[in-house]
Amino acid sequence: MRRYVVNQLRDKVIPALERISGKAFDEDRLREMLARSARAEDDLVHVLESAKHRPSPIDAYFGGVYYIGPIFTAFRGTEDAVDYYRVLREEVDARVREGRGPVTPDGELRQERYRVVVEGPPNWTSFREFWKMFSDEGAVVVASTYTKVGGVYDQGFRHDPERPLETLADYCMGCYTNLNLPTRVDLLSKYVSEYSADGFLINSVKSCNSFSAGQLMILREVEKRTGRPGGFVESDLVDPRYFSASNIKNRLESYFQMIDQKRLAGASR
Amino acid sequence: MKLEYSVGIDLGSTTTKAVVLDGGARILGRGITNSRSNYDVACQIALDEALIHTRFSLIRRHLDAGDADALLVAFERLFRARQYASQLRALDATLRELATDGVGGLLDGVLAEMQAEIGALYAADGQRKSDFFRDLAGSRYMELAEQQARGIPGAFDRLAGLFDKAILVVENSSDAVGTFEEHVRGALGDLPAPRADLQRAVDAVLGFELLQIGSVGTGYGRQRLPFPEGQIRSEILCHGLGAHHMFPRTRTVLDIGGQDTKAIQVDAQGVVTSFQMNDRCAAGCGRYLGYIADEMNLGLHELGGIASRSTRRVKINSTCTVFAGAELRERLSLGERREDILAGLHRAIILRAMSLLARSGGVEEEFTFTGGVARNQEAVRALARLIAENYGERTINISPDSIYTGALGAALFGWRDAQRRAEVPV
Repeated sequence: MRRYVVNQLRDKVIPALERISGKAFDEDRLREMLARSARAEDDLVHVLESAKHRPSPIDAYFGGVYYIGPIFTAFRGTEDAVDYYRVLREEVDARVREGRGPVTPDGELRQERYRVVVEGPPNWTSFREFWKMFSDEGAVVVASTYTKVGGVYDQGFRHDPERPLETLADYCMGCYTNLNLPTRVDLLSKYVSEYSADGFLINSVKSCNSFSAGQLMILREVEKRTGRPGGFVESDLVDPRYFSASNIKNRLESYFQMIDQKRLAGASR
Repeated sequence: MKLEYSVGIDLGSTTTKAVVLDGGARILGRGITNSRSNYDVACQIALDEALIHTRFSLIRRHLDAGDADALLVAFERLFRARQYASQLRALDATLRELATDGVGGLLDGVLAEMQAEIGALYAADGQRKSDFFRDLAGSRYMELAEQQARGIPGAFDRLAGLFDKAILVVENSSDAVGTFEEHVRGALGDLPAPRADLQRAVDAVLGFELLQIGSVGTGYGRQRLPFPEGQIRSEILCHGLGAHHMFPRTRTVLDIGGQDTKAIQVDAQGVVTSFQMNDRCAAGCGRYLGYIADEMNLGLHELGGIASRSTRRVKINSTCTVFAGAELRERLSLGERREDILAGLHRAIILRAMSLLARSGGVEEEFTFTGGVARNQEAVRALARLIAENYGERTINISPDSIYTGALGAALFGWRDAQRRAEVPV
């Protein structure tokens, strides 16, 4: 598989890019960028894993998309990205030392009441409203799969300047949405236990089948493996018509109250 | 004497329900009203109704005559007739206040007839298509208005418009319906022969002070309930707990309400373990049936009965409420029979619910069907068949009071909260 992708890069992608850009492929420059990328990846993983603390200093879904933004888009392999992740890491470390919770649109979260893992993309059209439904309830997302669509660095992958094309091939094949369903179930179950989550939620969107296909199977399997309750809400990434605030709020509230009830039942047993 | 009670109120999109529990979590009373546009009033009226029912339950506890049950049924009918008369008086006054353009004479005819019919409406064999004053008075008013206005251009529209305005005033006023004491005393006098035991029971119950010690609100409109935040629970949890209380072996609950369908799994304690519900599209929910009933000029309660006479069910592809009317008219124009189309529509709704059930984890054990649609025998029949086909034979529980399941769950949460408060000295 790796050789197949490497061949594609060498025989198709690189010549096409050289032709369009008028610049020759510079492997040394690629190696430098890969090395810088790996440094930024170290800090990104450190930031994402800070959510293992109680309280979590970050929200790893709503906040998480800001943390993955630079590396997943225009700044991969740049000095700017290296700087950004160093500053971010320092800030997050300070929050951990001070025992502070994540920043939300309404300021710092005072009390962490629920820790959840979220699977699926966010709803971009009502992002703030959706986030608020979590933060109002004191729910913090401690791990998410959406923040792994640009690489599952927390599972050990790093860009390797010694093997430039091979490492790019590994990256492409290892992105979350290129993982098969059993691997996704493994990853989610691992997150639920490693991040001491009360449960996990799926935001099932209409416009991205790379995520949505198989989510109900994932829900049942992760529930079975972890014994933690799974929740299911439906919206969309891009189409505002699919976002029904009252319907989603109803499901989220029901889900959090279900966790409460389970805690209560667990305590009285 | 004081009687402490807990109440649960389920503010649904179509109806608002209240359930009152005594100190031992036994059901004392239930009340229902249409949700209308004013949620506060709907809650108040549902609670008032539940407290009336509570007092009747208490009266029953004070009676030990052999005919107590039959006596109470007859007595409550007399009570309801007085309540109706009281609301009709309020309607009369409001209509006349609003009438400005010379329809007074026509109103005389309509209202005199409605007044004269109260006795027959609440007779032992009286047929009442609804429990709500709006529906009962509205359907008769429109029929009589049509008769009165015959031959007078524009008169019916004016009368109908007047009713629409007046009924809002009447149903949003708690004075219109009168007090329990006033009507219960009146009803005692209306009995064909005096009953000293009933008189004593009524006196005893009128002496009770009903004291609310616990309350929880739920339902679609729960954010608007006049309750503090801590006393509001999700209707999913309430339906789960309510169904568990009615049928303790329940593990799966299906609730089809006005605009939500929910599939809920509960454990042996009635704690919800997983749930699925429809997304923003309310296709195939109770509202869909309401729309079909309107299209066919039928009462909602008549649909199931007609559908069950079907001999050749039509296959309906869409449960989209927007297209329901078009689909219906198309089928009728193709010469399909009304009952066969309706049978197809019922199956289509249940098929949609089946997919939510599958998503929530299927049907392993006892199954309880709740919500307004559980009152529809054809929906129940279609569900039973599809469950047997997909999961094998399962016990399907349907309580005649299934519409109160959410309110019952809320009342139980309210009762538990009150118990906990009593245990922890403040």
